[in-house]
Amino acid sequence: MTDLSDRPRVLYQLASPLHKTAGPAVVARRLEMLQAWAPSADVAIASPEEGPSAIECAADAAMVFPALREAATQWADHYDAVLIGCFSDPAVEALAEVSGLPVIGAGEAGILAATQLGERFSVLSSDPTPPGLRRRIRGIGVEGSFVSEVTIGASVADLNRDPDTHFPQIAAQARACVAAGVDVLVLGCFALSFMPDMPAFGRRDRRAGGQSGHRGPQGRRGRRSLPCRSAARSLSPQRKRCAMTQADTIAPSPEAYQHLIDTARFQRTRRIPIPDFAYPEGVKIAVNFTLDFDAMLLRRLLNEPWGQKAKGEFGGRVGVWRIMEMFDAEDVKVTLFTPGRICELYPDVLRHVVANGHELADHMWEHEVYGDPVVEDAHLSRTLAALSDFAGKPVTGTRSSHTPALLRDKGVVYNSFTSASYMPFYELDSAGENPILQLPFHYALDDAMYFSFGWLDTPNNAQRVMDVDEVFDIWWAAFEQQYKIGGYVNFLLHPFVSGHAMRVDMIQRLIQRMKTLPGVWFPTCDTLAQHILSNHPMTPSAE
Amino acid sequence: MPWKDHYTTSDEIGIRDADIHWPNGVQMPLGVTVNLNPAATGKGITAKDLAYPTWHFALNEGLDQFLTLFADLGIRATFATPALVADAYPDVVDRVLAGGHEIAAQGLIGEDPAIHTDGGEGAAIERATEILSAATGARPKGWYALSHPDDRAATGCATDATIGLLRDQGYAYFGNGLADDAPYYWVSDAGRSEGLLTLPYYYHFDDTFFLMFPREGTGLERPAALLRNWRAEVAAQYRRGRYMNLCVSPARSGWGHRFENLATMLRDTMALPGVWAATGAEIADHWAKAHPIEQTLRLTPSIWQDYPDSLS
Repeated sequence: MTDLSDRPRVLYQLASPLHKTAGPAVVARRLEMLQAWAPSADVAIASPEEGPSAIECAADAAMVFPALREAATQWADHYDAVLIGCFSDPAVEALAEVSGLPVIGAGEAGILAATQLGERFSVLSSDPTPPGLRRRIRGIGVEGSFVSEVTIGASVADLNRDPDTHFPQIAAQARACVAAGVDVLVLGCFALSFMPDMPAFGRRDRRAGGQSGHRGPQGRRGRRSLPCRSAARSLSPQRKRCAMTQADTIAPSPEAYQHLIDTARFQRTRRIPIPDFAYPEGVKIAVNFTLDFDAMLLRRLLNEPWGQKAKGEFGGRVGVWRIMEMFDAEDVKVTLFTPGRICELYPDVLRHVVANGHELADHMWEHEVYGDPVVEDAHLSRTLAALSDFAGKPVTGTRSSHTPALLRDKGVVYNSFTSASYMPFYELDSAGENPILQLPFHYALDDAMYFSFGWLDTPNNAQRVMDVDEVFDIWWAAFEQQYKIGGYVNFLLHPFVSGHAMRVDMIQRLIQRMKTLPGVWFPTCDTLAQHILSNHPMTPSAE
Repeated sequence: MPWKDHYTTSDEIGIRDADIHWPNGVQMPLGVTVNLNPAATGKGITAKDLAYPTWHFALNEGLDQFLTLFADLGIRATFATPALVADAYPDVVDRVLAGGHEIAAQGLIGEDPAIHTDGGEGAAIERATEILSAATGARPKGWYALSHPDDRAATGCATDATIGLLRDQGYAYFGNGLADDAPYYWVSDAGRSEGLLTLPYYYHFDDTFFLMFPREGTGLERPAALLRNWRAEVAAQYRRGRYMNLCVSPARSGWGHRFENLATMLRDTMALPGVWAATGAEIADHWAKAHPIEQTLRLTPSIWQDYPDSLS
């Protein structure tokens, strides 16, 4: 049994008189939960007699210090550290000064823990909530990982009084954050952390994230919800020292090391080159121009402001028409990777491009592949059905992280989503099965990387504001190098980017210059894929 | 989703090049927007912004250079001006108006309208309008909310309410349109087919993003890229007979070698036959008559279907 004298004594100090506002039973339940979460510590709880009824604005936060000042002078007699039970970290420094103890603001601790668990976090806050969260996060120095503060439509009192009623709404907001690319959620209110269902929700969510193995350029790995209590558990001095000793955290166990070796060897086997690859007679290089026709869908999914959506909207009402007119003038056939929702937003142009011999292929339903296999299936089926209606024939391609087995099951025979090789190749899924033809693109041939502000959430000081002449030179060099070796290039264009007048001109110039060389073939991706599948099928030996 | 709420700001298909009518003899209008907002962030102008040395330069040598160049070339520009700036510097207002240019609004203190919560945006627009009216002697016709260097989007700013409020308060146009590169109508009420004429803006022609972006001393300095973008777009839009907008600040493009780039590009552009360098108000006035909203805005009925597993 643990020696009691070694156990850290931690006070969980409430910032408002919860025993009065919510009743002593709520306080007792919190203590019980705290003790269960931190079994190696002696945890006590204290609810002040005075102070704001909840911390919902800056003025409430300022009232916390007067309410706790006197008690704080006695803390050192009983405890080793104090955790302030409010995400706003009210009066933490002043109370540390008065008490002489480490006084931990769970808000800052939770935020710092979030940055260790993932790459992009959002904070779920009760409503109303004090202002200034972004400024605080900037002060902590992790603003780059902070995505948003999302209020959950319930006040502190609501949450304490009737947590069950509000849970579905909170879960919906949490899922929306995850859908928007957030991989860690920080609960920005202790009333949330102590909701009875919250720990289980966090675990469920992790499992859901873990199921979606395939994630592409926009992808994420697992998703985690991070109740503030996680921060409370990492507060002991010993744990703090451990966290600073990197060797403890990064040196893998023998089992983990072997797992990495196995992974390295397996991943190497997933991409299978096509031996003796040959184009049709007379063709030296295939050039695929592919259009990701997502317009404002991603901006909408991330719930960005109107200016951002309008930037995407340009692609639907102007850019796609203009760039397709240029491709038709040059007699170049292209593939439009089109989200299903675009069929409802911009049906006219889809009819127009199909009539002119271009290909429609899948680009997800609403520009996101969700982890739930039922939803994934529904989205893919719906998208393929909608696009096939326009195309008048089955859709054979995708640019997505959809599960390969599902794609094959629905008749999709190629993907254009990776850059593991210059040339088309077959790719196995994460179980080493379900080979699918990949027509590789490369980010260096992606217009958005050069021209779209804030692409993939890059910060302002990392923007590339390239002009058309520079990119023309880069793309010509990329083409010329592949032309010399009889290779392949796949340009990824977005109508909202490359549909701007100066860029349409630049791409037309590029095509016209390519045409001065013999043997340049501009097929759709499907045309190329059918050539490969007929002439270079995935052989049983390679499989 | 009743129409295309949460997705689009306008109708489905932009006007084709061949359908655009400019005044006789005009091949391409040139809209020069001069950004007179010193605010570094969407919170609007701070005391620190006003003390900034390059803002001092902007108000003096930078502005003088602009006005002299515009006068030489016969360019009438639009000065997107926060009410505070017009109020604080009457001499600037006088110099700009004397050159035949337009003073359009850019917020009360050059702010992102999203900072006005709880219905405060309408009152802020009203107050800015009053101040600008008093400072210039006429109600402003255009409203801009241009990008701040620290904005997370390079689009300028509009809330759900902005366009409807501007329309209600009698504005003739909004200056931050990214959905087209010809003037178009930004829908404020789809049910009534109401909207506000919007003039195009694109950040690849805005010096904010090329000249010490996001801030001086450590920022990206790409004057040649900006010049090449301007030239490439002028060539493309002139051929199409569509529209060209660029956005410059005397604090940035007013300076030395950068100013030479601006002057060269504007001289070359004005040497083309049929370039009409007019104010936003003039261009909007022409467009509203040649392409009135009743004949231009074609809101296709929504065919959207809601599903429980996806966003509406």
